[in-house]
Amino acid sequence: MTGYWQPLWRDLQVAFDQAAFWPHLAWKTVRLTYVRSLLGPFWITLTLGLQIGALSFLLAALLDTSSTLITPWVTLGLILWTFITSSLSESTSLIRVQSPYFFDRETSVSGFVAALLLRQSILLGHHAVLWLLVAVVFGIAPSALWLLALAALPVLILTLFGLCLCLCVLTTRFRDLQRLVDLVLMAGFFLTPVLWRQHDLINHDFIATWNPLTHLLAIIRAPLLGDPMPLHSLTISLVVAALALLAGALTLNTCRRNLISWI
Amino acid sequence: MPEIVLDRVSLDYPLLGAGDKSLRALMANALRAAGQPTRTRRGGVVRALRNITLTAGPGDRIALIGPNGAGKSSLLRLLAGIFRPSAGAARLTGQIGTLFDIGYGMEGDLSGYDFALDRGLFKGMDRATLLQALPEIRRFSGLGGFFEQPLRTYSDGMRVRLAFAVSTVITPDILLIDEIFGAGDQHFFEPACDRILDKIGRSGITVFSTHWLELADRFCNRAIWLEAGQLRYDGPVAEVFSAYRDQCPHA
Repeated sequence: MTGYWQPLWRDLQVAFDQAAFWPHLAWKTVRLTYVRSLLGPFWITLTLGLQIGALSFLLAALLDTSSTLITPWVTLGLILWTFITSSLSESTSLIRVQSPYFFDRETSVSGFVAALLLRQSILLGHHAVLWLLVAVVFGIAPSALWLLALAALPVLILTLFGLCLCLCVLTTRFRDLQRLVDLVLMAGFFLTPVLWRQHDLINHDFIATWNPLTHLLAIIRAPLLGDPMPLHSLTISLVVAALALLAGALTLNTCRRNLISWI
Repeated sequence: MPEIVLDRVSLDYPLLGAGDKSLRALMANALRAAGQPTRTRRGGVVRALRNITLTAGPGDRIALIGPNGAGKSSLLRLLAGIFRPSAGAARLTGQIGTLFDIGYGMEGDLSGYDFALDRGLFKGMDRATLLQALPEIRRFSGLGGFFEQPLRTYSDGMRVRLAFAVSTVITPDILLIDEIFGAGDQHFFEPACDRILDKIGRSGITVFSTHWLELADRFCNRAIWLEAGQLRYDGPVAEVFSAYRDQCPHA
């Protein structure tokens, strides 16, 4: 295939040629964190658990609500937020970290991004233990709605795939962008309903309404908490995912030719 | 039928200094563009290869020689598809295999077995074929029981042998090798060359950059001398090497 999309097409083709490598890379990195460590990645889970415990306690006191209400909300918020930020922030150094691979043969940016997201999804699976724990403690029974949340997860992953593609390419060219991303993610943590809920904002709920992350979180969090799927958020999330993928495709397609010489 | 056709190929690297890398510099330039002449540093490039035309076909075993910075590695990476020509056209037919960097991906906690999987899958093998080839990799690398031990217990020589054994399990039509044999690995060079000949047979193409003329002499049947990114001499090994030795007596 030639024409405008040739560079992207080629990148995907090579990813397909190396299809067996990507899952291997994702698992290898997870497995290496288990070497000579009893808990491995569960150390991150433990850290996250402590954070959840402390913040839930604090927020229940601050907002004057019961911890039965706030803890499940905060748990899901922090687990998903960790998934989002670690993926995005890891993508900003992806190509530089993996540069020896890029210099050894013609390889694929989309493949490396897929491996990154698979690895982060495996870690998300580790963190999900916290949610199960909270569900047991607060008597939240699993329901069919949980499957809906699982079905909504790919929408978030596809959005991240598009964004990570953009970021890993652009940060290779502009290193400052890496700092900028960290900055935006930090601000995003406070401006996104991760810890607080939209109705906690009196008169200022536009901060949440206009934030795409609100909706990406909502389509997974609502069903897990036993609420129906918010269709409005689902529509927005699907549009956001499509836009992110388009942006990623365009960026990679435009920059693929020169990318390696930017490393 | 493997084939390499380069038609007036040039390769430029952009020169990105600290200033160019920053977004601030670009934005500052964009703002400045409104009123004053810009101070862009665009066009700062290093021309690594100039106007190279060559063809290679089945049975060619090419030694790529030239002083440091002549463009040997750039040419090999261009042939591998890592870099695209900035001008001209490159057409390669056949599956490409590379032996460029030996040591990457060798995390100390991985075993030789893990590494073999990692490298083999990256080179594009499917899992089943690779698993079948593992005993052969273990044998050729001569690691014995070390194959199951972490890489941090390996000597440099063991690492090279392992990486070489894995990388040559695939049988490409075109094999590109970039100076992987240091002077310390003389014992390994002989079996390594046999293995390359065995794998590529007489029908493939091998391109092989080296400073080590005596060994290249035994292994190759054609030589290409690069200098400052240009093709200086392309011909039979003996001819090119003697011209090269006249020019650079230290080689």
